[in-house]
Amino acid sequence: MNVYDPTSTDTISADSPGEMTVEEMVTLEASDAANLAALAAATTPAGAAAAPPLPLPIPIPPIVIKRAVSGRYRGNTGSFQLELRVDVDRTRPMKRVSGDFLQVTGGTTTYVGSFVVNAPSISVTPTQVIVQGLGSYTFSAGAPVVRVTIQRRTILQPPAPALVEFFTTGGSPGATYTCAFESPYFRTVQIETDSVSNVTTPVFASYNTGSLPSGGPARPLSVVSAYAEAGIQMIPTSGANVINASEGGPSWSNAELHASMERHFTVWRDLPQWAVWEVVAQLHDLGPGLYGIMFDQQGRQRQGCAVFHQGIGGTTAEQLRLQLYTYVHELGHCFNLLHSWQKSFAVPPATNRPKALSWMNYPWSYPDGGASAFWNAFPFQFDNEEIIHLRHGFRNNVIMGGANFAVGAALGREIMATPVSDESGLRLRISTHQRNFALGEPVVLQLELGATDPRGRRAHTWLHPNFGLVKVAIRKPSGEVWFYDPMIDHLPGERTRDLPSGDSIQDSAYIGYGKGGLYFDQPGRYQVRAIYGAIDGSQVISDIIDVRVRYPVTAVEEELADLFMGDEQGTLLYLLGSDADSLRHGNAAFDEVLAKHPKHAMANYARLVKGFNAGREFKTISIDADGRSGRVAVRAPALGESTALLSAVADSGVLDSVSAEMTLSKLADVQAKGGDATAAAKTRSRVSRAVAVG
Amino acid sequence: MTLHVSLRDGFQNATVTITVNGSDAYRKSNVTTNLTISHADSIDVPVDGPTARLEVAVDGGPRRTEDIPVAETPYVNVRITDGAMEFLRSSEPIPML
Repeated sequence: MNVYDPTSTDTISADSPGEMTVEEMVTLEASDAANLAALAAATTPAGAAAAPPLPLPIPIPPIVIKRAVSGRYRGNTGSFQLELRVDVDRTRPMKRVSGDFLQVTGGTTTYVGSFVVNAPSISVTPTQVIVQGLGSYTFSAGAPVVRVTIQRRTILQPPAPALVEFFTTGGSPGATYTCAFESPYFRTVQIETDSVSNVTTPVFASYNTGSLPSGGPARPLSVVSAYAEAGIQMIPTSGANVINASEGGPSWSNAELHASMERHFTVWRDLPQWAVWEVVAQLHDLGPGLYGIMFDQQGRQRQGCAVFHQGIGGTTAEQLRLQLYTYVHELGHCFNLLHSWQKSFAVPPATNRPKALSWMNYPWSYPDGGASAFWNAFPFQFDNEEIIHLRHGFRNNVIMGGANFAVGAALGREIMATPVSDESGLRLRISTHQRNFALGEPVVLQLELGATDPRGRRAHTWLHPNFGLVKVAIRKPSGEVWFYDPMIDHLPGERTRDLPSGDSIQDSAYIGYGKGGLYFDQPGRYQVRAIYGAIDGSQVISDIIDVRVRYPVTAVEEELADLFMGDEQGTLLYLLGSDADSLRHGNAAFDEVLAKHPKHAMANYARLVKGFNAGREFKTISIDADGRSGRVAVRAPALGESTALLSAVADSGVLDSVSAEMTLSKLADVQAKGGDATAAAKTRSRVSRAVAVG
Repeated sequence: MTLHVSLRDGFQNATVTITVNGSDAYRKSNVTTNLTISHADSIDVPVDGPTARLEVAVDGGPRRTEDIPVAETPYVNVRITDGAMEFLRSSEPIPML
């Protein structure tokens, strides 16, 4: 029962260890500072000024009837939403504020970035609490100073909102948010605990920490309450079930555990979310010495863990203590916590703490006396640094499915982030017609927009990135993320259509070269994602696809890579050919490809560029020597040359389906202009077949 | 008797050789500690006699040799900390989690 208000629904008990009011926290800080100063004076050498007397002990404060201010708040300004976490009172206050920004556009919500203020000044008056300091951000913040003001309320009043103001370092005001109080917990996570049918001992429920000698107050602890003490609310889902042991056999491998998670975790999705799966099994392939494992180290990591009762099961106090410890420990890994003695392996590294009395340490490796000494002193808590991570770690470093295990540093704004929610009613798919490309080979992205809303959606049809309404993000092997920036910006008019459910529109785009130069200029693994800006403002984000660029192995591949990889060649591919004198070296390179490697698949791209260019009229403006007049030279289309080149490309089978259709359409036009109607008609009949086959 | 050797912390793409009583028992490359369970690899080596000379070496890295009283402490955990290798002996397996 809450000692401050018997009618309050506040679930944090005053019996919880370390409960503090904000006055106590601030007074304790001041007292600590005074004590330190007095101690320093008392230990000065002889001959120095006499030390002042030590301050009297702090009297036990009276029961405070002001409401605690710590917890989670949420507010919006414009399209941005701020989830704010204030941590200055309640249980084990860490004296920090932090927050996550989301952007809401239309029906989509996307994570933007996070901040934390690690050493704020905290000012407490009878009427308000002000927390202020310079924040650290996952992105470049123009106004990095944060001030949070919360009016004091009594426990009989509803919680006050938090006014969050951002300032530049020079003091100029930035954005302001008014965030409503949401929860006394800093984060909320759904937890689903499944068990396997052949587990021979009961699934762990609760252990009273006073059953055996320990540090900290005696209390009943479950997994949920252990995390509640850390400020994390764990809400069990209703989907817990029993898994047939035949899925894993007599012992489980990590791959089997992962497959089981995907099959049985009722809220599993392949994206970051505050949801975790814990399975209780009997035995892992590594034997009974493995008590538990965070097995999810593939794809979106840290979404599940397992405990094994062959090593920890039973009903004695020691066994229940070990189960509590193991269950909480493995979930700690899902929150991206490393073992206490391995913090230096984090990215970025932290200080190892082998003597930590923490869920994340090994009792049997405890350096000051081994397991018995550890258990005698362990208060069944995380250490302070771990609490700070759980409550205030940048979102992607904590959330399940976020950063990979041990990666704690955010690397800039989340450009490729999956939306937190998508209610746009649209779906964007991207693909390439082959999984990997030779170095220098043009990368063409196929885009397809469909409606997920059964009623259909109205959508604009400008899918090509040229029109600025679809952005393509490319993560290079180095980890850098670039937005594809087309060479020429096109200003689109209105072009929309109703898109029924099940229907789609398609386009393809060469994304190998643009204002950023060559985008696939090195061998390795790239990741590509596209974002469609819908009419209602929704940002419809595609899945991420992998594009692999191969290392050249043979001398021919090396030579072709050299001949294709140049700014002029990239420009020619983007423009589908040109007579421009400034691109003559690029044209010469493609001529060399056709002369020396006519049978190579990549030669067809050179034919494509030259064939399109030959099939069009080309105007060139030249300026006379006097600089005051000029003339226009018009090159007539070379229809025969174009027909030969484009026919070869159309028959090669090298292109993606949309580009193949475009080539056939162009060939048909060229044939028609050349007076061969029969050939043109035959070519046009191949267009729909190309799309169907592709 | 069996000597149980576990490569635990501090291995990162290492080529590791284990020799027991002068005989090669293990050689593998790309040995890396799984940080979630502090474990890289394990082998069990049958030995005669109450003591076994155990040598563990990392190519281009630390190495260590110790005489292990197998009857008393058949479990040896090998870890590398700050570039130095140490053996932690135990009568029981040190759990992983």
